[in-house]
Amino acid sequence: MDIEEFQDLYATEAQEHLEILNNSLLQLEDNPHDLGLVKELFRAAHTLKGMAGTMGFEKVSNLTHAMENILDKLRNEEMAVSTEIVNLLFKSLDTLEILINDGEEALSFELEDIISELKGYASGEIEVSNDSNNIDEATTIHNFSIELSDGEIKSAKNKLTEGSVVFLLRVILEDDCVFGALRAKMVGDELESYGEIVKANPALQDIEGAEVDSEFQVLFISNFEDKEILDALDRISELKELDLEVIDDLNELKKAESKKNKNSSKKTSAKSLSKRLKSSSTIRVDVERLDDLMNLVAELVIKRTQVESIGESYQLDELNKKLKSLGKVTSELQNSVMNMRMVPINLVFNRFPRMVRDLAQEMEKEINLEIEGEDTELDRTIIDEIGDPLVHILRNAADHGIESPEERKKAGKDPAGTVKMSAFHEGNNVIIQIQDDGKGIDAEFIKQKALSKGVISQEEAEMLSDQETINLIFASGFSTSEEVSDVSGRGVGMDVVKNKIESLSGSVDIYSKVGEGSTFTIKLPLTLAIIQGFLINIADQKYVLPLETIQEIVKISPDDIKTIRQQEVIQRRGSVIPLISLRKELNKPEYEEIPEELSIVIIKIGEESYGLSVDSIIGQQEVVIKRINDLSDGVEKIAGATILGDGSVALIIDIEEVTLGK
Amino acid sequence: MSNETKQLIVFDLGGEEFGVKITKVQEIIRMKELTQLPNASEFMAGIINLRGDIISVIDLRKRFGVEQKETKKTRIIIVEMDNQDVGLIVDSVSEVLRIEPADIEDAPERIAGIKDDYLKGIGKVDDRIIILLDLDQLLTTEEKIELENASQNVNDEDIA
Repeated sequence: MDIEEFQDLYATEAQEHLEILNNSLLQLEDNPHDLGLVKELFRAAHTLKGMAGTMGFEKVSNLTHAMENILDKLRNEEMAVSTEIVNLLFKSLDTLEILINDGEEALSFELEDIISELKGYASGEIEVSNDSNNIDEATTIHNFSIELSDGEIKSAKNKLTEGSVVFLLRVILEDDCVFGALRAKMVGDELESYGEIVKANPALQDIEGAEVDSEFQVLFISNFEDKEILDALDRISELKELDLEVIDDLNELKKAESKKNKNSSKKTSAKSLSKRLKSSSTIRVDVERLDDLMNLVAELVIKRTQVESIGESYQLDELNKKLKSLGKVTSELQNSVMNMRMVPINLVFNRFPRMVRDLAQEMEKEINLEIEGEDTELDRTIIDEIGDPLVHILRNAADHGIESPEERKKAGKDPAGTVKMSAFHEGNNVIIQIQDDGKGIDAEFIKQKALSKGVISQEEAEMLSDQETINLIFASGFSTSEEVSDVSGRGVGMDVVKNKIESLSGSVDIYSKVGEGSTFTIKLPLTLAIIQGFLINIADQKYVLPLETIQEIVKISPDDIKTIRQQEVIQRRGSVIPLISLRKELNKPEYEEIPEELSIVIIKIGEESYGLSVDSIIGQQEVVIKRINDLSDGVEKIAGATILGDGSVALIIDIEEVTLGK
Repeated sequence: MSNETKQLIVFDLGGEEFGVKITKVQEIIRMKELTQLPNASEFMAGIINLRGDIISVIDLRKRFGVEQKETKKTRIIIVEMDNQDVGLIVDSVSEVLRIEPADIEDAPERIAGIKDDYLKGIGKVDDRIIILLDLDQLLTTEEKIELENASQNVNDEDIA
């Protein structure tokens, strides 16, 4: 690996640790007595410090070190968790984030302020609630002394032979040590030649994985003299301090651990930690590689369909049978590749609690954020893109939706507003809902605004229902904020949100009631690559409809078509549904002579049903969606293209666009 | 313009010769069955399946207002633009031509219709006049290029 790869790795891992820190800190704010959380915070800060140290990011490592000192005080209950402390820690996290994302040069003086503030608290200079003295390097080391379990003590004792002694080695690396991980490994190797390593802190495999701190400890058994060992280790460069200690009673190490265990209280945080530790059984794969794999699988699906069509046209039963089982394998392959690309939406959601907390503080509102279904999985490419639109909607909800506590009290509501984010599956889609119990959107206000901005005309305004009016906030050139606030409405309107979601083949809808709140519903496809399609024929050209939207296929006679206000409709199971001529929508000539029987595909979008008239029906097929490079942005009503078994190209109809305004 | 010898793919469009830089050209294929896109711009001929990739094809004949007639010589030139492949329908592809920078003249500003944007210059090789096209500009603008007038003027210039 070269340095750049290391840096990438560092950036992603550091980001993860930051997330852990952020989440644990949020939880700690609510449960200030949960020492388990403090420990988790401490561990994350410590690992981050180690990583930054190895990579030579001094500022990050200094800052995390200062945080560690505070967390250590909290952990040892020498200091109580207070809002002051939590805010200071949050501030440190923000600084860390800037340092990690924008590089060490990003800021300087603020960093000093925060560090000195942290130090002040740690030393008790700022808060006089405890009288403990300054924590210096030496005492910090003591805090990660090696702890052994019963089993480990037993096996260590078994290894003890006559003349051999248990040593505890403390190593402090030089401050500017570049190859910390390498040095640690060299120490480990050297010790192996003198005896047997019982345990190291951090574990030796972590050391090799570059997670080495400026100090580390190794417990080992050897029958050599301590002087010999120290001499050997002295030859390794970049080590600042070596300290070798003989341990007489291994049980000492154990006691230390059990004492600490008593302090940890809640099980929940321990569980969440073990969940994270499980990640060691996963590997990181570049999304691009997965994309390549996905493309190959897509090719395979196309090729299979091609072979299938040969089998069918020559009626090769034997081949067709074999192809069926091949089809099963390719479908499974496709599913597993797709699953590989699936990541829980939590990756996006987990930054929101912190965001809402800050927003609420900033605007002096009380907002509770409830999150549901954070385990819901979505395609990685969608996850990467959906963050910004969600942030925008959430900010809007916090800024314009939720009222101030006074207003809420006046309206007879709980002074604390609630924003609920939930994600769940619905068919081949994932639905994300953002619901607030704020003041809702006033349709009349929107209508006036839309009129004054020229988004709609007077006639149009009169035709619109309240819900349709509310959806106008997605129209381009429309921004609802009466005054531009710092939080939302800084030029980027909701139309950007809508465009983004639509570019992901999704849709967004608002439901709002004045005084009760608003609900944003975002519908996203599970994946963008392969869908179950339904092939139809229009004017001698093949088209694909997404199968999931299709309710049924009916044959009607032209006499069954009625007209309501120039919109053709048909009656179906007692309800009247709009009829859409795909020939018309796709700019094809009308029938030369009206056929006696028309094929209608009934589709359902949301709660609405539509009938699509087609020339003929071909059948169901799995299709690989390919993007069309439309060059002039002129292509409408088409979501993409696909290659059929015979090599010809079929267009995939964009149902949403076709049914728009019907 | 650089001082190196350029290699051009020369193609024919309505009796005029055009050139594009060879480095931009991916391949030249025979006319294929096109899948038309509804509501697309006038010059979009449709899309084709090129070994599993969907490629948008532009009808340069329409773009330049030349009569569209399919012959055995009609070709689609696949060119690379903005990191994506695009097909261009032309009447025929004649040759690969080397041209010295000295033989390339700046486009005369008086040429009506062809905007300077599309036009990189006029190449003169022996008695032939080759119109050098800037592909990137060609497809970003929506207006139709009045080829006939333009080429007429070039010829007039030359004779005069």
